[in-house]
Amino acid sequence: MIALEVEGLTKMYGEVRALDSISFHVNEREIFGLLGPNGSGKTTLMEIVAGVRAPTSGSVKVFGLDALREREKVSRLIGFNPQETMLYGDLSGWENLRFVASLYGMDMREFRERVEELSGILGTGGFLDKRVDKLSGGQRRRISLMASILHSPHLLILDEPTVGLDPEARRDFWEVIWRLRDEGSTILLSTHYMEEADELCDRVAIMDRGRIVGLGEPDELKRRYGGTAKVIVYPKLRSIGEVEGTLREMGLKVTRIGDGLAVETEEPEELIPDLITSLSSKGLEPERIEIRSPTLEDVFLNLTGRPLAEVVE
Amino acid sequence: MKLNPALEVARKDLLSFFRSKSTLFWTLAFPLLMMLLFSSMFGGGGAMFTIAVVDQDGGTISKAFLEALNSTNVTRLIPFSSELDAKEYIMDGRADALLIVPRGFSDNLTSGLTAEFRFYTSEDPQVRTAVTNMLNGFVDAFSEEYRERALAILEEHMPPEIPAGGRNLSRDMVISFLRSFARPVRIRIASIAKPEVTSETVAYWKEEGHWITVMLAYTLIFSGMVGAASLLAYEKLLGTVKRLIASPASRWSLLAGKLLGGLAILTLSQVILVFLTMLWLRPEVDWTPLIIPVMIAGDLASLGLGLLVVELSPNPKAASEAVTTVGIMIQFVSGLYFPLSFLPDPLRAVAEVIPFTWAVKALDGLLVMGKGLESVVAPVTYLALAALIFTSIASALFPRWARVE
Repeated sequence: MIALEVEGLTKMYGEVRALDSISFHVNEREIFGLLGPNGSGKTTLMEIVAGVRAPTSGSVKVFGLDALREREKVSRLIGFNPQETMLYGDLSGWENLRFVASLYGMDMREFRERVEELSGILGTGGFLDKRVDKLSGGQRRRISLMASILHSPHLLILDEPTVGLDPEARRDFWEVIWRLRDEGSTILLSTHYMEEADELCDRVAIMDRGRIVGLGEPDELKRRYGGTAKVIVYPKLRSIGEVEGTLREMGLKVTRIGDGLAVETEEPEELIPDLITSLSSKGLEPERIEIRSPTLEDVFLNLTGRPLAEVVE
Repeated sequence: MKLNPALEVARKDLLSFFRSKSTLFWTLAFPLLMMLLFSSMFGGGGAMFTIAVVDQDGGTISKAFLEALNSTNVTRLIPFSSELDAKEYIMDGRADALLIVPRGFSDNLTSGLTAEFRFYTSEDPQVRTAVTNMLNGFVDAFSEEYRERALAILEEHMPPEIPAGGRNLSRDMVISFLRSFARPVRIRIASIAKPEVTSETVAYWKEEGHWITVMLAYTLIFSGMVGAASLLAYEKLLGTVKRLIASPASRWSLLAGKLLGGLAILTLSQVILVFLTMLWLRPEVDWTPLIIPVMIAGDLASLGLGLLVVELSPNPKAASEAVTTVGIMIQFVSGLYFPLSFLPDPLRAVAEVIPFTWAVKALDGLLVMGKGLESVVAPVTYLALAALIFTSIASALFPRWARVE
């Protein structure tokens, strides 16, 4: 079943087209990622789906219901977790959750049971009774996520959920997302971390300047738009010039990437022995050699002509 | 049992209120400090004006007049034997005015003639206006009292019928006739500007019962508006408004929760402030349950207006500035700190339309003047109507305001 169907969605801010006729769908129990730099329209798109923002034109359907006309019904199906943690700093985590539970018409017993269950999953039990403004960023994010899934939404919308988290906390967060998916939720999340989109998402829409420029499974996108693999040679620093010259003499196209020299090739496994032989014969043994498969970064670069990291900066 | 969103909004706002030191200061501590400051300035303790006095007459009536003036606590009288010394004392800036009771003052009065004071004030126009009007009011009251006593003695010794111009006039007619023009004591003052501060102002502050009105109406007007505005603007500032509108809770239940929370906060503040004012000033007031509908309707009107101002403002910062400005303006024109007669005519006309002016009048009427039900029907109706209008518009504007554009 289709959980979310977006058709021709456009959002104008005066003359600026923040969303340009976006269309896509998300299947039930799918983790669907929106990957793109800041300003690409991810947040606008998610806020329109969540009912926080009104579109200029287009339609949004959530489990077959018109999200713009049947807001009350649709809002019960959606859990929305925006970039801000949306918590009251002068209330405790528990008080915040109780308030959110009331917005969704939960009863007290159901609320207590759900908090106990989610505390186990998210590991919030130790700090729920503390004032939110005394908690760390990671703890706040966990409570905010907890508030968004308290009412067991069918579609969970997470806007940049791991921004500001350290890599370990980010990985813990992914575990939670997978678990929620396994329990039946459909997840729409935005990120500008390529590895997050790659590892976490079943499908990814790459957004740039209010448009979807690529859509598919991460591997499929990399295969179609990522280009060829690269062999990266890391020479000793003093011999980088000589190594580069030798590689060029071999008729290879060489690009400098930091301290390394990248060589594009269709068959990296076959190229590496030749490289080692040629360099060794001149006494230019490299420090190390690695093979780099195409990433979503390459996909973004090839689709937009700009590196994602540069645009995010 | 289901958790009710309106009640939970109110509960959440109450918890936030009690945990915010700045909100507690502006809602409770500030009005109390104001009451302590003003009541010590105008209340029983210190005098407002220092007046040098030269009693050249030294008669019984001049002494009685000066004693009465001294007992008002509005003045501190410094006696001088020489007019020259007294004038120097004023020129040194140590007194606000000089009152001279000329020789023959008492004799003139007892002889049925008009007696006159001479009065000099400092150059400061504000002081001059205020002290002159205070003294004018006092002299008028003294003059009236003296006239009544003199007429009472006259009436006692007058025959019932007095022949005049071929016909008999009754004693009552003669007394009424005399009362109509008799003004035995006058005051002569040089170069006085048009009065702006009247003795009524002083009386306003000295009436300690009015402080209960001030405590109630301050919270009703200012804390109500600013409180409601903060409660709503805070949601946008924190971004929590997104959670509110993304939820299935209706806008009516959210706004009802805001009003309920605001009403609980205001009522609690009002009870605490009134209790402490009663403890401090011990004013004589006529307590009546009729103040309850005035307060509820007034609080709701103020909360509704606060919500509306926020929704009409482009952002939370502008909302905070707008609501503070409107709140302060309304405080000053609603008769809370000065009698309405103090205001220029156009501003007074505006003040009469403001619902909160009606609340101040109704509270003073009930608490200070001992008025009854008839005095609250119109104000309560007007305030309730204002509350309904403000809240309805706020509710209609809520989705547009809450949604991110």
